[in-house]
Amino acid sequence: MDKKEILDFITKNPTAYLATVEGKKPHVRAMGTYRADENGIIFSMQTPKDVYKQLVKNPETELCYFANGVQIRVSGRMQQVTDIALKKEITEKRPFYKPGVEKDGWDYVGAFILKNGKATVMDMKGPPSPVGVPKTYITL
Amino acid sequence: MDKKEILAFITENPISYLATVDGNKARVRGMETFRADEKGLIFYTSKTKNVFKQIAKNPEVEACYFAKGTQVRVRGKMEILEDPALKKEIVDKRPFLKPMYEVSYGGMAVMRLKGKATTWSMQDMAAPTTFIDL
Repeated sequence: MDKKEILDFITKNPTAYLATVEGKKPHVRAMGTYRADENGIIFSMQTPKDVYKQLVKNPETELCYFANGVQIRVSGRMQQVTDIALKKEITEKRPFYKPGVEKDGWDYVGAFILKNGKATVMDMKGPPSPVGVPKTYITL
Repeated sequence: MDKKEILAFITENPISYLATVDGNKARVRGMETFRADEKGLIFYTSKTKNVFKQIAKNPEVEACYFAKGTQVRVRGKMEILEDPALKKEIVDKRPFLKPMYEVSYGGMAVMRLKGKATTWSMQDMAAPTTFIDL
């Protein structure tokens, strides 16, 4: 898969298993990808959540997507997005943020973008990858 | 969900997304749970894989399961088991592993997670996070 195919796959299968590190412990949860395109992969969450606090402290992340026997992993550093226009757009599409926004303002909405993430693809429909052969990575 | 329900959910939906730490970086990949019962969650991989090397160095893991709007996360320390009978049982039940281990089970890794579980569902998004020892 090339870059465009990977971004299309993520757009069609937006559930990411998003891993973070807290101290020396890993965490992972399912998250809906807000958008995936040439600019990067965008996520949002309520800022009281642990995932937000973990990403602020350690932005190193890995995402795992899986559908139809294909697994895509994307690793890199998240960057916080403070753009109010994006937060407004996200809140229109994720209306369950609204009560929190009314109470705490736009600080309630956390947004991150993963730019230049490194993606690696595994297709279970093909032969297993030979042992000892390094993975190939595509910069998104 | 109580402990029994969580173990049944994992048994029915055995694909976990298993997170590990590599230095200070997060890693996650799909992994099959071979078994989930009172004794813990059993996973297998090859000792040549990065996931095994990461766990050998830092056994802290979190496994995430998601199906039908319900998410179960299990966190704790992974224990590496050198149990030949269990390795043989896994290979017998997963014939695609046979070519890799027919000479020796030495390169096969089996791991157990006795962890704390927390559940979340789309039906009750605001429920407080509680943990259950598995």
